[in-house]
Parts: sequence; C-alpha cells; structure tokens
Amino acid sequence: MKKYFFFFRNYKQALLLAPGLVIIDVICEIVQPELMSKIVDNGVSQKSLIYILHTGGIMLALSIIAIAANIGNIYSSSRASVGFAAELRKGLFKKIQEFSFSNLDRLSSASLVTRLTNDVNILQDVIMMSLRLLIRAPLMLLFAVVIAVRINAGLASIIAVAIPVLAVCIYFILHRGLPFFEKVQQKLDKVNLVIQENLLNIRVVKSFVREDFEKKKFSLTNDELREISVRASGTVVLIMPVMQLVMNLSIVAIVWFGGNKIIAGTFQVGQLMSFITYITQILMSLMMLSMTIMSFSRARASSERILEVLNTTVDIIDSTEAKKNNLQVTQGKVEFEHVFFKYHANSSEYVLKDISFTVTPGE
Amino acid sequence: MNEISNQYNSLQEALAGAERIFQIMDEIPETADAEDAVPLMQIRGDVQFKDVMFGYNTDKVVLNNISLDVKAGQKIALVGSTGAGKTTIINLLSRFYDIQSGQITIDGTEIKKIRRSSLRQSLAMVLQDTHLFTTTVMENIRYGRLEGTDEEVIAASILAGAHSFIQRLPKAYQTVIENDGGNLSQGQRQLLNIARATIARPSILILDEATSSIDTRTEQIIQKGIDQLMQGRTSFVIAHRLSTVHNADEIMVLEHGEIIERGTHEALLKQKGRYYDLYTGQFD
Repeated sequence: MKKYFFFFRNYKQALLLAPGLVIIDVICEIVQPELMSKIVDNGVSQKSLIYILHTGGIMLALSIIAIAANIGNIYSSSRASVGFAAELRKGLFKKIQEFSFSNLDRLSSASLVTRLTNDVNILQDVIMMSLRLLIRAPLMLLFAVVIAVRINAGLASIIAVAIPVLAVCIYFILHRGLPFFEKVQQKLDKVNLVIQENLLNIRVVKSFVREDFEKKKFSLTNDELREISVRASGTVVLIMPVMQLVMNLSIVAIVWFGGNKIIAGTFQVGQLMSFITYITQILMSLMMLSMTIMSFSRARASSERILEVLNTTVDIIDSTEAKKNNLQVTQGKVEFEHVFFKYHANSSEYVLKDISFTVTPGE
Repeated sequence: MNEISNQYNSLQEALAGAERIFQIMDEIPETADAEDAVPLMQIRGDVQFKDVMFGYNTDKVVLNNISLDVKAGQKIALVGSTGAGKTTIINLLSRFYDIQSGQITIDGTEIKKIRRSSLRQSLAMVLQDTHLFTTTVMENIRYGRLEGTDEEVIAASILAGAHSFIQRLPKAYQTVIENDGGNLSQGQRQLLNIARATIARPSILILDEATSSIDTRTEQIIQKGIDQLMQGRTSFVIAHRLSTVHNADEIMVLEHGEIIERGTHEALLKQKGRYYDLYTGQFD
C-alpha cells in the first residue's frame, strides 16, 4: 500500500477533495427522507402549504448542493485514479528499463505487457470506485442506521437481523469467488503469450503451414480464459440477487410490523415511508460496500502482480563503492580473473569456467 | 436514468474498442488459392524464376528481371550486400508475397496455381532469427512435422547435431523452453531450428543466414548437419560468410535487385568481379 502513495504525489489535491465532497453529498442526501416524512406528517395532514413549500425549498437546495458535490467528486476521483495509473505505468516502465536479462526472463515479456496495461487498468478502476464509494457507503450506512433507530428503535431491530445475514452471505460468496480472479489474470498472460509468440514466429508458422495448429492452440488458451472468467463472475453474480432478497424481505417485515403500529396509532404513515427509504439506503450502502470490497480483492491479484515488478530486486546494480568512486575508463585495459559464470543460479553447469585473460590498451 | 447514464460511459469505451476490432476484421487477408489450384505431389524440386519483377510497394522495385533455373537437388547460393534482395527471393518462393510480373514455377507448375499449403509444406526454412515456442524441446522440434514420433524427433536432432546439447539440458527433450529460448545460446537455438527443418523432410530447403550468428566452431558442427540435410534436396542458401557457399552448384550475386554475376565459385573468382571482391575482401 505504502508503495502506491508515491504514485499519487501529483494528485494529492484530487485525492483529498474526492472524499470531502462525498461527505457533503451524503449529508445533503441523508436528511431528504426525514424532510419528506415531515412534509407528509406535518404539512399534508395539517394542510399547511407554507410548511410544504418551505420544507420543499430546503430539499431542493440540498439536492442542488448534493449534485454539485457529486459532480465534483466524480471529477476529482477520475483525475486522481487516471493520474495514478499514468504515474504507475511510468514507474513500472522505468523499473523494467533497469531490469537485467535474468529479471526479464523470470517475469516474461508477455506477462509484463499484461501487468503494465490490464493490471494497471484494474487498479485504476478500483481506485476510482473507492474514491466514490468507499467513504460514501459506510457513512451513508451509519447515518441511515442512526436515523432509523431514532425514528423507531423497535422497527430498527429488523436491520439488526438483515445486516448480519447479508454480511455472512456476501462473505461466503466472495470467499469462493476470489481465487478465480487471480487465475483469470494468469490465463490472460497465457493468451498474450500465445499471441506474442505467434506474431514473432509468423514466418515459421506460415512456412510450416501451421495456421490451423496455431488456431487450435490459441482457442485452447482462449477457452481456458473464458471458462475461468465465467466461473469467477458466476460466483460473484450471486451477490446482487441475495442482496435484493434480503432487502425485499426487510421491506415486507417493515410494512407488516409498521402497518400494525399505524393501525394501533403509535406510528405515522410518513414515518413508515422514510423508514423504508432508510432501510433501502442501508442495504444499498452495504451492497456498495461489498462491491467495493469485491473489486478490491479482484484488484489484489493485479496489485500483487504489479508489486512483484516494483519489488523485484534488479540483480545488476552499482555497488556503493562504484557509485562513490565514479571511475572513468581512460586506458581500456580489460582483465578477467578466474571468472565463473552461469545464466541461472540453479543451473548445474557453468557457461564460463575459470576464465582468465588480460587485454592491454589498444589490443 | 441513473443506470443509463452509467452505462453510457462504458458504451463509449466499447465503441472505441469495437472500432479497433473491426479494423482487424476488415483487413484483407492473404489471397485465397485460385479455383484451379492443385496440391503438389512428390515434388522433385525444380525451381524456375522467369523475368520476375517485384516490389513491396508498387512504387519501389526490389527485384528486377530475376531469372533462375534450378534443377532438383542443386544448391544455389545467394550473395550480396544487405538490401540487395536475397531474402525477397525466398519470400517470393514461399509466396509470402505475390509478384507483379514474370513467373515462378516449381516442377513446371506456376506457384500461383499450387495450393499455398502444399507449396509451403514442401519448403523448410532455417532463418537467422528464428524464435521458439514456450513448450518442450521435443514439441519445438516436432513443429516441423506434427505427426513425427519421439524417435523421429531424436533422429532429426542427431542428424542436425543438436542431440548432444539437448541431452545436457536439465530435462533433456522434456525441458521447457521459456521466454523465446532465453535459457539457450544462439547456436543452440539454431540447432533446434535445423532439427525442426530436418524432421519436416522438405523437398526444398531454405537457409537464410542460418549460420550467421553462430561462432565458427559451432558452425562447423552444424554445417555437417546442414550438409546431411541438403542431400538430394534443392536448397537455397543465403550467407554472408562466403566459406559456406563455395561448394554451391551456382552462386548468384545480387545487387540492387538484379543478378549481376552468376556461376560456380571457381568461375566467379576467375571473373574477378563483385564476387571476387567480396570473397577476397571479407573471407574469414
């Protein structure tokens, strides 16, 4: 996480502005149902047009503020996330330039291409999403719960049942689905590899008339990617229906118990209306939160792949001594003294064994 | 309304993506085989170029008035400086491009009238820079002939002189080649390519600077394999190193897309022309 802050350095303003505007937006929005309920319970029932106009005017003003804040939030979160992605790509590219050949062999160029494009895009999306929802959703949730409890603590106990049920369901779905997302990225690497090798080798492919063979090879990797993607989204697609079910059951419960209270005369119609709105907001926020968490964990796979690049220790670097000395080659005498070398540390055989020679300047 | 405005964004992105995809789809692929195209059966390997004219773009001629008459089993060398059109001749023979005028025939049949798959199957190429696939050594060699057995792969490797180094690899023939053979030396990669061409059993063999990036000692090893491979096959050899071509039946010296000298090594040396200059100037 810390590593990523560096890439936000030019977008700090946007990064801070986005959540600030969200808070304004939430506050303006959260009071709307309560104002609405006051219009019904006080304005309409007492036939006070002035009260209705006055409250309605406040609602309108708040809406305008909310819209402005929301637009500002979208703008600044886009700016921050897109800017971050550009900086991150730049950082990754710079890192790759420093790589030694054995670094490149290990990470493979097909995979590096995916990491620099697709994986960075996934991070960009998730940052955009979190700047818009990550603060909004919990805040909304909190406010809505507080107000709902204030309106009627008894009815609010329905929330106490609904939230844990939904949370547990979402947890299990995500727990099952997430491992697939990592595999999706791996398969995408493989698809890239097949395309890359095919294009590099096109003369060989054509001269041996292996177009059909290549097509088969490609469709195999392509099918693998499709299957794993379908399985990945197949598990998380359950979240929405589960969420809808819980929400609708909660509304049924509220209408049932709230209706009885209204008949008994201890609850008002306007209150019931706003209560339903709040519980919808609560569960919606919960869903948004879970979707953000979901894309977060999807992005985790991408993030790990990006961090792997950033954290790769370049194995050919200047030693501190070399940095300090800043020596210049003036004469060009070259000496190899008992040089042993192999490309991979775990290879059994040395490519060069005990090589010694001296080349004097001008030779 | 909210949903629509949200989707509008993704729709815009998708449209931009779609345009790029359509661009690929609209690209005109290699021309289809002619209606009356025939497959080649048991070709001998006679190759003829008759007044061939070609340019990659219509406004720039790369080959001008090229005529060749190669009998089956002959070894033809193409020499000349970079950009003279050597590789282009090979490209035309494989029908990677269609010529603008003239005629190319194999065993007397014009190549435009031969099914492209059949034409290319009768050729095998060993190029200077051949890339390998991410799979085992075994499968990389078998790429030359998919129905080849493991034994045939090994036999081809022995013939090409690749067997001994393959056996020294961690898992021998089952070693997976990664990142375009990054774990192999240039010479080893080339030996695999020669083995791949060997197993293909082509009637016509094309060696485009096949040994240029290999040291002379390795070259000696694989030259034996190549000579074996060329036995009884029509072969086209493009080489910078003239030592590898002096035993050719005919040497063509190309310059600016034209054949300026042709003949055997001895005849060309006697001529004291361009070939003589090349040979005496850069022989190594």
